[in-house]
Amino acid sequence: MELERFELGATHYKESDLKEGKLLSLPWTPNLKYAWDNGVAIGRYLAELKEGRIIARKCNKCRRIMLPPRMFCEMCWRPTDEWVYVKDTGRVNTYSVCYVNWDASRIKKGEKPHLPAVIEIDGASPGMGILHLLGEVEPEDIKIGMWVRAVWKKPEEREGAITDILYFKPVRR
Amino acid sequence: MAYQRVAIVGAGITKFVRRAQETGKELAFQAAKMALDSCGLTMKDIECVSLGTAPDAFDGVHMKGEYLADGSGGWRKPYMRHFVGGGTGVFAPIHGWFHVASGMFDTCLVVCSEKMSSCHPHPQGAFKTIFDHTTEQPLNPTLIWIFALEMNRYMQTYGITKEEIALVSVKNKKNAMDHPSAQLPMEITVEDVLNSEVLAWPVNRLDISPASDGAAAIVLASEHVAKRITDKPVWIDGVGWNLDTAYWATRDLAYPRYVEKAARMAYEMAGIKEPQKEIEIAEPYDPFDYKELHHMEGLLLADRGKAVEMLLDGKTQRDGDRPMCPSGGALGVGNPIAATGLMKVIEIFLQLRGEAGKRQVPGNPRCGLAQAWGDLMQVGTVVVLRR
Amino acid sequence: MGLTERTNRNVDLTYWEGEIPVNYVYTYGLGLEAFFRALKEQGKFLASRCEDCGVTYLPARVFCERCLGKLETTFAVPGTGKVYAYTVVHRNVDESPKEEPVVLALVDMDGTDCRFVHYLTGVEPGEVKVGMAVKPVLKAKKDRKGGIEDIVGFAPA
Ligand SMILES: [Zn+2]
Ligand SMILES: [Zn+2]
Repeated sequence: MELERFELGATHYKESDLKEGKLLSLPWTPNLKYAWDNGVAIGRYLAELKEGRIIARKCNKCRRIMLPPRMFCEMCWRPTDEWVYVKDTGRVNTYSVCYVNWDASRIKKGEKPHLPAVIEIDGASPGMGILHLLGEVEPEDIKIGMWVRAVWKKPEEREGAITDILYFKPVRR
Repeated sequence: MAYQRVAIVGAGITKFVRRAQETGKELAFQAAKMALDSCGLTMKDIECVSLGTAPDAFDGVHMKGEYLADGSGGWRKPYMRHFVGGGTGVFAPIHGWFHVASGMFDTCLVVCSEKMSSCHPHPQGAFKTIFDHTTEQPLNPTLIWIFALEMNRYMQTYGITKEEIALVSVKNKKNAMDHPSAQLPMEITVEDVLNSEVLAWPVNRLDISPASDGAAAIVLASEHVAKRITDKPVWIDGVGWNLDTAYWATRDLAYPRYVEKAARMAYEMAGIKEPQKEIEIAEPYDPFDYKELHHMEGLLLADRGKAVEMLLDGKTQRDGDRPMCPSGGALGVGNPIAATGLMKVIEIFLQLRGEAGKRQVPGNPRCGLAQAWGDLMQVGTVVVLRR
Repeated sequence: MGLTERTNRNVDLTYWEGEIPVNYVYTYGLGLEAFFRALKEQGKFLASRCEDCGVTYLPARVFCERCLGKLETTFAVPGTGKVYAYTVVHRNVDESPKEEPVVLALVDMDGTDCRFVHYLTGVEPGEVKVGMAVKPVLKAKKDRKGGIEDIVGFAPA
């Protein structure tokens, strides 16, 4: 049964066909707003960020210090045991230099590219990376493995959010 | 284990296009009808139906499984939807396999349909929900971040270059020139990939598969029924699937261990001891070009960091020793999420039957593999097929 | 500790607000495109029939859901029907009271095996009967856009 022997379905149309009324269509913008409970672990994580601290959670069985904190260890499948403060420094596990916004639109001319990175935080177990941004650094100077430190919002501007850390900037070690 | 042996006996597919006029259920119908026609069956012969489709937010149809039921042949049948994100299309034959292998049914129609064009102007808003709503979404991520971060780590770990990786895109888009469903078949050079728009370094526009609409379907049958339907059954000899932690930033981004675990599960079931020798042809999941190499390593079809050598040696070309993505893959044929994985399964089905037309690889392969990947970038789904 | 740890202080119970920022444009597909075009331009109700299953579909479809047969022709049905079931609605979607109650009905469409869900119009809620014959009331042709709202409702025949 070669595919070539069949008349394959799917009729392609151009986006302009909708505007020109060649095809009927129906627009809809749903109102999908949510209030997600933070729960115990993320609630505390955010509260500590507001105080300018990063907190993790330890499992006494596998001895991992986990970030973001969680009330159960997905590896040992048991409750975690202790709160542990970790540092606000770490190392770049990987990074990107991004020229598009979240909605796939191009960043504005002259706007600096976004610098997302996975950062392994000091004091957490090796490999415990979190997603954040890099700043005060030129893209070409970023290296995997480089040391970085959190740059915090002013205390009065913090709101208990991951964005209370503005970005991580390089530090000499 | 005591289960029925299961064969693929028929297949159907639509064209993959950026925007299809058809509704998702009409696309499902077109693929399902072709699958039935291809093996001379009607819905009377079908005992149960399995549907695979990606997040409801793509089509903008809540409870999409229910919505797609009629186009998929689900009317008054035992019908069930399965879903593991991007891994769905290769979970589809596995889900169908459960139904038949268990002995509960002798035939199963497996359908995958996706209509991403409903999400305007682009499904990025739906993709954003892949990130954790509290600890990641406030950073305004795009889906490409995950791939860019993983690709960078992979390149750094093994010393692989963008130029080398771009060859995957060149190969797959060229292979797609011979696929009648293909959305982005083209003859391009490594320079074209490198010179295309930088989205999130190291990812350029031509490193990425497109958003697509399309559907695919297969018919499964138990051994004693399959032999009455066709003299060329293709057997599902191994199935495997595996999920890693939801904390994606915590994983080893250079190596997909969950894919390895899924592959080992499928190999053990199929009695495969040396995958590099025994798997003659494969369709690893290639939504981004580096992913083909990354997945070849997870599938144990190449040693760690060495998939690129097979690529550079030409071994993964259609006429090479170990063809990878002879269909043209997600990069060339297109990427209507769930339908993509099933397109890959169909390609191996056709290749093993010697019915891949201009795409046919030489050497009459007897054993092949299809794989997909997805969820929160954490699932591997694998099937091993033999004729 | 761990899973047994309880948060009893209400001030510790926090939440995060967000949204799923999506926007859709649906095409009608092959079946509904034909149906709504005929309704818009000719005021006709297009149906399709599967002879193998003996089923007539309204709106027209391009496949039969029972046998997955391809349905390639369409024909007009009168658009009249009989009330199969109805409800009297007093509240809006946001639960605010309606100024006037409206009657929503399932209408068995004549000459087909399908029902429409739509409003009844030109009839007091107390006068509606199951089995009552109804006919479609369409917007004026110039106001029709090709959608379910081109039908104002169904009125007693
Ligand atoms: Zn543990
Ligand atoms: Zn029928």
